Amino acid sequence: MDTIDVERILALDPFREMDRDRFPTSLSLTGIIRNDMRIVKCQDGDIVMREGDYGNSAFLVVKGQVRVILRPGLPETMLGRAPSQKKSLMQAVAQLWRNPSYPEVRGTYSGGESKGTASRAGADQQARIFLQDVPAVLDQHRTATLVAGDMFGEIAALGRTQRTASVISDGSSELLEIRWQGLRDIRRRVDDFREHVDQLYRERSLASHLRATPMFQHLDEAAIARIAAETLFETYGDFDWHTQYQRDRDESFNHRLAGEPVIVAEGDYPDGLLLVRAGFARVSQSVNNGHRTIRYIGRGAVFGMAEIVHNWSEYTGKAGVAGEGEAGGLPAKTLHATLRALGYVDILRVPTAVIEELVLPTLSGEALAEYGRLDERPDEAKASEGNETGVDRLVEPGMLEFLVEHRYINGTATMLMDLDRCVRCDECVVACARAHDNNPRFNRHGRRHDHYMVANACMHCMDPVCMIGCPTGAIYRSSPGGQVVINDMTCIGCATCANSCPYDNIRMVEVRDGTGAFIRDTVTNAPIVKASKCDLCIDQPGGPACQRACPHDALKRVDMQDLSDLGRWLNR
Amino acid sequence: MTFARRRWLNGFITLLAGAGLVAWYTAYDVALYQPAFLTGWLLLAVILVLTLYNGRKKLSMVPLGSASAWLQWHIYSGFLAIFIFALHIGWSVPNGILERILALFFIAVAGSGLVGIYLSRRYARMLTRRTEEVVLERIPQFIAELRAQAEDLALQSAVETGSSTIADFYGNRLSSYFAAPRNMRLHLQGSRRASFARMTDMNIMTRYLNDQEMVYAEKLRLLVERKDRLDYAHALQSALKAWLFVHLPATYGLILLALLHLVLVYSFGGSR
Repeated sequence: MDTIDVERILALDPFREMDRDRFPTSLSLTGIIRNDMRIVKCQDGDIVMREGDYGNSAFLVVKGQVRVILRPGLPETMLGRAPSQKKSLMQAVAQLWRNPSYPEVRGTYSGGESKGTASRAGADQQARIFLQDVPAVLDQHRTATLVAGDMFGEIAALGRTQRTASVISDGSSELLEIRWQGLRDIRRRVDDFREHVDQLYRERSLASHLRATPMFQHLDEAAIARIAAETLFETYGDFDWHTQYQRDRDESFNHRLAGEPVIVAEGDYPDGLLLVRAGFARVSQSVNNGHRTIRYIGRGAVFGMAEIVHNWSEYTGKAGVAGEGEAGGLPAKTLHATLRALGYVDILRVPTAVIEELVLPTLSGEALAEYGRLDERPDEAKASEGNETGVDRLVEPGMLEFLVEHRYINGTATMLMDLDRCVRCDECVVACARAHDNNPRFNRHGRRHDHYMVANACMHCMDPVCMIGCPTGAIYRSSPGGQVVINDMTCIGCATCANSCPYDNIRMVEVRDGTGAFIRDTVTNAPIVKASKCDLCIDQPGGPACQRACPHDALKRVDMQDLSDLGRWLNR
Repeated sequence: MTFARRRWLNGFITLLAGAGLVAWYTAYDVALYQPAFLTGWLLLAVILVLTLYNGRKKLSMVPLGSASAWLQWHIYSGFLAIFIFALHIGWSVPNGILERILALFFIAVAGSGLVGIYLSRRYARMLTRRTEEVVLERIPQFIAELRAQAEDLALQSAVETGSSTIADFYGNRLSSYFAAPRNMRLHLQGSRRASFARMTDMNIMTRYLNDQEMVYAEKLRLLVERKDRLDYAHALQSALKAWLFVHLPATYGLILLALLHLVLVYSFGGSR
């Protein structure tokens, strides 16, 4: 952005009101505007943001107006996404003889455009998808109008969550796109801006987050509103965690652990109930001079409840909690474990006093006993329970450290292989290839721990950083399965996703026609490149072919949020 | 379900099926039918069902249940087939030439299957413990790369140090070793004898090396170790595939001979 534009932006709300002295010289407001913002000129019908995309920027309307498409939003096909249609049984079988003999063969790319949309180059030469018949869309959908000075998309950008609505340009408009880095820098230094964003989150999303938390589910609206009003927002770690991870992954364990910000430390007084709003955190306990990971937690998890329940029970003399019920006298229980940000974590902290006033008195004795149970160490869990349930959920500490260290905990379909059972027959690879036009979408290769290997296959992450920055929205999370998939028709081969994937699970491939010749760009004559990765056999009638094809039970697609399922598989 | 529980459950079901079969066999016999017809038809049916497993592997894209569930059925139905076969031949050696050939085919199929189960369980673990993951078909390429590196090293040592000890050792003792996968039998037995002997030879050679040559010798030793691991992976992975080259053709032969046997029995077998 040039100096004239920067000056123009500085004259706009909310930047005009911001106190520039709050920004250090090395990170001035002018610098943030210059480096983290850009002016986007849209034409009538241009899709500014798509519902379901992962947010990495917010927008401020500078000139003109935009329309927010209210629910029900635009159909998937109109958003540049391929319809997720499963093959019929016959189509599936026909893959045996219909699959091409050359690698990465595609049909022609003509005639496959999304319904009702097309692409064109914007003023900045970036590809932009636009609605071809804006009046018809406006007729068929309810919309809200945002005018100059309005901001949108900031919650998704700050929390890296999915966009909840699509926004289109209504006539020509000029928008200021603010990258999440800039948003975060401003939020950190400008109280009004932070309060504004927090207030928006409080109004739009917090109540539903609280209602989804098990210990708040029975509360009435007034109690939820009160908790929402008292909740503090905190952010730890580096939002751009994947680049940091790629940089540090070969460093020593202690080096990386030291880089993980401590949210609360073992032995601290529990001054609030911590709810993870986004990201991941490591729960560890000190062992002599080191730290042992006892579990990891992600979005929706709760930390510190057991200690709060215990202390309140001790104070009030409420019996039946953690087997103790003597009133008063005993010192308050401090936190039993340290919580560290893995990458970045957004935390909601509900003060202990609020929990003690609104939540604990309304819980039953059984619920209190359940919430009052502290995490046991895995070896203690095994020894104390001894039954199959206890053994099943056991993930041995080394494995846990391995999964956390390499951030495999991010996966919802991580390909885990038991090499003690794998006979290296490659049936999994063959099955994958058969399901994808003879192109295997993963490598039977990867990091190992003991006799387990995490293969290089897309993990369909909880936090899919690959989706950030895709200029055409070609990589997206499908609904309702939640798989991260690429629409080949709208992929422009820019490799943004492949470069962002911290696990190197996306490959760029040169595509061919049916005769085996490379398909070339008509202007540059360079081979056309597409991003390629595991799609979890989204179009196959039976689900992931790799897992079903393994005759020796050596391969499983594991949801890392389901530790008990993982434990059961590891302890077969 | 744990593997142990699954083994117990499948074993129990197979035993139950076997016991039911014995009861049926006895009832058939008591009723003065020829039980060989019963066991013969049952055996043919089980064999045909067993062959479906190979078809299932080809149809991985069709939701026909997991391959692992099919393999369990395949294994335990195979055990049942062995029992039916023993009943069918009356626990004795068949007396006709065709029947004896047929029996040999059955033994080849069942035997290779049992060997396959054993190898799958044992070699998979051994591969995990001693090698890095490498695709069997790419091993010759990796060996060629190692050979090129070893040759370069031998030549370089001769040029740089003015001594031919390492180059001579390579020419006399290692060039054929690096030429192709070696010591397959020893690796399959789990023996380290050949590796140990080679390392001993290398240690003896080092008596004639100066410090400069020792650097080359150490690099060469690392290449020999890597080659040894590749040989090991090659041997075990080859064995894990090789048993199928007996199991599958023998199955097709068995089915053809069984059909011929059926025709002959109905042509000349007399009353049931």
